[in-house]
Amino acid sequence: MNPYWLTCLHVAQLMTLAPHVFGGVIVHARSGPVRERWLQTLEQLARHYDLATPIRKIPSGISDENLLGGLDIEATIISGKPIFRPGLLSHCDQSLVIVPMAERLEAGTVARIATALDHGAIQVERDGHGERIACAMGVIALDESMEEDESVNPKLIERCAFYIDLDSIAWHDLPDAKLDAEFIDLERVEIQERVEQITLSDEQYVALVGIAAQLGIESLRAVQFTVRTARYLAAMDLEWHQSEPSQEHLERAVTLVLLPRATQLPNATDETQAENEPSPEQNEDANPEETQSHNQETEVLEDQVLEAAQAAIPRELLDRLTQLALVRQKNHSAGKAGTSQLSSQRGRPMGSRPGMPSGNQRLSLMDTLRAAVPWQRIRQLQLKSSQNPSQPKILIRKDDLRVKRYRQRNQTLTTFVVDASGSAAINRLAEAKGAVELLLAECYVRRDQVALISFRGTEAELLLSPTRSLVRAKRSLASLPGGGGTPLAKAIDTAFALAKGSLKKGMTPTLVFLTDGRANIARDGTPGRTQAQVDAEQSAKLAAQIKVRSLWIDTSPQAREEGQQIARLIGSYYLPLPHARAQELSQAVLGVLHT
Amino acid sequence: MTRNYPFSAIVGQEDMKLAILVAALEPSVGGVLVMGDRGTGKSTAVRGLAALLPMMTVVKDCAYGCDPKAMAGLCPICGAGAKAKPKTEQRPVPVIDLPLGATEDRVLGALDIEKALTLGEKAFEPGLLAKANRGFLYIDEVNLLDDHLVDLLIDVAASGQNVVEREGLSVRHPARFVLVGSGNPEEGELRPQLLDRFGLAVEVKTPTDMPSRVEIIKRRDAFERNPDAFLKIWDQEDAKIRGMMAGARKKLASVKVDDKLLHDASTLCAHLGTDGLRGELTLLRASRAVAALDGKNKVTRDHLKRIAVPALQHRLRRNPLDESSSATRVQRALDELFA
Repeated sequence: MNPYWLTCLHVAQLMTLAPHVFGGVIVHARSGPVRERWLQTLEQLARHYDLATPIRKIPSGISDENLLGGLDIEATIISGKPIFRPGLLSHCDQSLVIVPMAERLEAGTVARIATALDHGAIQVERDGHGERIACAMGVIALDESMEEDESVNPKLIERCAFYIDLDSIAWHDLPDAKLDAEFIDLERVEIQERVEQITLSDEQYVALVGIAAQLGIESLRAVQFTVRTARYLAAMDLEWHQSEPSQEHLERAVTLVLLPRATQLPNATDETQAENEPSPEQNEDANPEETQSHNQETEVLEDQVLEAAQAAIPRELLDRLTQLALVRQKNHSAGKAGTSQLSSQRGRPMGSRPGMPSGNQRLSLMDTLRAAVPWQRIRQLQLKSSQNPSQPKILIRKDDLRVKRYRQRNQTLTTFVVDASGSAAINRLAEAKGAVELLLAECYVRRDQVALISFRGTEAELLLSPTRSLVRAKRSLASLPGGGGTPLAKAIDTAFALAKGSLKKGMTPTLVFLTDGRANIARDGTPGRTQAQVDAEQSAKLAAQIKVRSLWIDTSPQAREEGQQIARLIGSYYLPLPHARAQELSQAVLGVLHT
Repeated sequence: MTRNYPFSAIVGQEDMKLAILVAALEPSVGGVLVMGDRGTGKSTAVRGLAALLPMMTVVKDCAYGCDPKAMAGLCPICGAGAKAKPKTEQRPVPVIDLPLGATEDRVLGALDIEKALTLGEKAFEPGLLAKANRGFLYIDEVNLLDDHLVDLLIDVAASGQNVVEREGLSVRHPARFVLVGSGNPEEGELRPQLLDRFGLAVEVKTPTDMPSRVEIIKRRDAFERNPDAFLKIWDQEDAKIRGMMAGARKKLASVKVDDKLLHDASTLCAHLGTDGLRGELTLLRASRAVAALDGKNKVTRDHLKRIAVPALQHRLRRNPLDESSSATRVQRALDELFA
């Protein structure tokens, strides 16, 4: 049997025993028999502990009305008084809720769930109804992400104590199903009585905080979850009669909560440690108080706990998780802002808003009726008094009108920044042009917009403002003159200004630089290699603050340090292509852009 | 009702605590925005604020919490002047939550649906903005708020008045509140128009030194295990802050600002190139509040320095040649000018 399966079952038990105490668990697994089996056991445990079963599910595109509650139109019309239908969250108090495809959950929904997890209640202010609804729940977030760039919203990860990976368990490794049932033996009341008696010793608190530091975990919520888990594990261990958890309880708590969040492993001495600013040693030097609280004994405890905890989790899984956590930490700010936007024309339906339907805004009939219903009585009375002979069934006013809203995936804007200086012209400007032309065709097929910036002499010029017209693009490319200096700083400034503008319009910009990277014109237009390079690097640093995907193609015959340096500062993907022809260039660019 | 973690038990985060107290003491500063990483205790601090506020005198049963002594800016009922000397009552200063997913009718107030349906009667039901009048409106996850709600808020926060027109009913009522927002900057930027509504802005980070981290965990755990006992211990500390606030509130009107300090504030703002006069005004008001909290009669340069970063950092234009954060730039300017 795979020992990790036991760990996963422990998590199920803790979650059903005290859903709200632990917030939730991220279950990384594709749909399959192992996940089914785990969910079945969870359901059994939930029944045993009298949680509401079957466990409810939150679909990823759930509307506020269904999640938080709203006016029940049918019941309201029938009864003639407002009937508020509570949302899904209000059924989840003291229980669990499953979130399938958690990686696709919308930021707004995540924020609402996070509020419920933080306060054990939600304040609902909707459709003439204000109420605080208790909602102390635990979340079972099924994470089916496959790629590195998909993951569950960090906000939700932060509030879930546990992470398990069922993909690392093979079906034939699972024990007989009867064994799972043996897990169900503890009684909730007894454990809750016991858990109140258990506190950590000062030394144990310090050790846990120290372990979190060693694993590069910044969040204190994670440590808090570890403390809770250790207390519950001690309470569940009926043989244990002391008021503080044993070392083994701590070890298991660290395995369950802290290790899956590690951004570095203590024995890995690589650059990740250096990057995480205050390493534990530095802190100790700086703070005399610390040396006191963090003495040798605690360090021994820390190391022992950490070592034992690591042994309980498959090593490959641990490495992969660490890698993932690091990727998340580094990319966490990478432009979510521009990837989708609300639109009134197309995309996925996203509810409605008050307003008049017009050319491109469509009427949402249901929502309009919903808005009109409460006022019928007043309007009927008014109409009667005005002695209007024709009495319509339902009276709709301008205020009631609702128009549909959609969430739209954004358009991509690919901007080519082409070096047309003398040096580049010699180094095959023609090839670059050819490549851009091929790429343009590709962008056209994908209905992307393209723009073209060329730089030579002392200026960078927007030759082609964002367009979808292939003809225009080709024409401006053909007339692209060559020769003159290389004002690289200006080129970077112009390119990123354009990218920033398009981000604001809700597009997703991508920049493709084609240059030999040999700056020789400074920002103010004066010639001089040194100052030009300094300016270019400064522009690059600034540009790095705008999170935009970019690709830097070095076209010089020999790849140079300067160009590489600037690409690195921007955070571009650097691709030296010294002798490539148009066809190869375009293939390379497509290869990078589509991965 | 869940009990809030006491304000005084928050470890460290002095900048944030000071900014919140200043915003609570002097409403004309214009509220505070707390941005920071996950799990830094942003919303804990704001929610802890409620316990530090005094009682206020209001017209009895008034849904808008009108001040019986006020002559203008009263709600339609009190404004009609039904009685020359209305009955009064004491109420705690309100701290109202504006939750995500709130519908427009609940925020602004609307016709009472129940009365409309059952009696066919047009009655106005005040919304959250009415409840927040003379108090605080707290928006957690402020950057995730729906755009149309943001527009409404900006409008009301600027005018101090809420106007509702529906079904031929027109209601105009006072809605003067202090905006308090919190959020995580990684989840989307705040619109500049809304950013500008906040008088102070602070950034919070998770403490990285071991002793504070251990202390935070210990206190959190103690609070969870036995909230009553924990609150009892910290009640005294909260009471101290309440006392300090009460003293400061009395003092505030008499705190003096001399010409030298006015000059300092102008120099600083000019040096940083902040837009308009708002920055300077906020800086002065906030410095006065800091002096009052200190129990001083006069604002010194030190008071100004302590609140300058929160008062100015969100009003700077991005300088293309300077990539450092705006907080660092304000700090640098302070060091250069007032070393």
